[in-house]
Amino acid sequence: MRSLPRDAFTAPVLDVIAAARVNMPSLRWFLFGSILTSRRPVGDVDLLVIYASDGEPLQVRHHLSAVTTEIPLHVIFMTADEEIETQFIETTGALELP
Amino acid sequence: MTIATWVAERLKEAKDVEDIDVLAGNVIRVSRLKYPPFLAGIVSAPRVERETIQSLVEGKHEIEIIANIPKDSFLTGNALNLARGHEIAAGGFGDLLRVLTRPDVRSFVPAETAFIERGLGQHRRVARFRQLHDRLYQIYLRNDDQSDVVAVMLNEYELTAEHIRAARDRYGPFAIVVKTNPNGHPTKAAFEVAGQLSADVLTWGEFLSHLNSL
Repeated sequence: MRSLPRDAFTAPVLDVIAAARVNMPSLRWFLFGSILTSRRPVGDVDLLVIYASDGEPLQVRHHLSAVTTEIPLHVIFMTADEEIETQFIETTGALELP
Repeated sequence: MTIATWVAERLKEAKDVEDIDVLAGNVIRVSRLKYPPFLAGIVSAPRVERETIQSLVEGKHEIEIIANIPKDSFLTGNALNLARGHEIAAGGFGDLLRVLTRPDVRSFVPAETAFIERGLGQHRRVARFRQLHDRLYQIYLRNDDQSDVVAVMLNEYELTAEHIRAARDRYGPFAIVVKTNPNGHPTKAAFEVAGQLSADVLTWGEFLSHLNSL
């Protein structure tokens, strides 16, 4: 199973995501894009969040605001239906955060 | 760690960079291997207004580019006009990486902006256009009514319902959502939300054709 190495770039992102997930355990979180490679620097950190209700993206943005002013975090929000429709996880090789 | 220090640490990892000096709280000097050094102003705001960058633009440092770090953010028209008036480029962290290999940093325009404005400028039905904010354009048409249309340009690979809602929250009303990224598709839910907002979702090509019908 793939895992994301912790480095100076990924560590604060992973920590904030971990904290946000405590408050919203039903969401699914994925990283994708260049952060999953060893190439540095990366232009931004790509994050996919699969949500169920319309208000959840705003809650996620609030929880992530602690790092978004420091790290170029690019978050894409999809419902489960949208993900099935686009096959986004498979297409991008996104890595689900456990 | 300040945001400028964080940016400096990330830029040092780039192969075109010789060194980075943090000159002030939010100004860095980027020394490059191939081209002369340049100064960059670093800001970190979800919404960059004129006031956000005024001290940088009008300060003692000869800034050549302003980079706003949050990805989920936008630059208002007032901020863009202020930067443009002082011949200062504006963009995000990714744009800061892009200018590392450019001899002329000040003239940098994000590729998507250049593409959009070239297309609008060449369209026979477009009399003129105004960049209201970084992704929001007011397009004045050559017709008897001299009418205009407001369009938001979104470069998402897969355009989702939340992209549409977030754009509405950020930019206010628009009549057209233009998906400028030629890859991927708008989702069904994106079309539904746009419809609820009385907006059409069009690809770039569809948008150019649509302008002919207005």
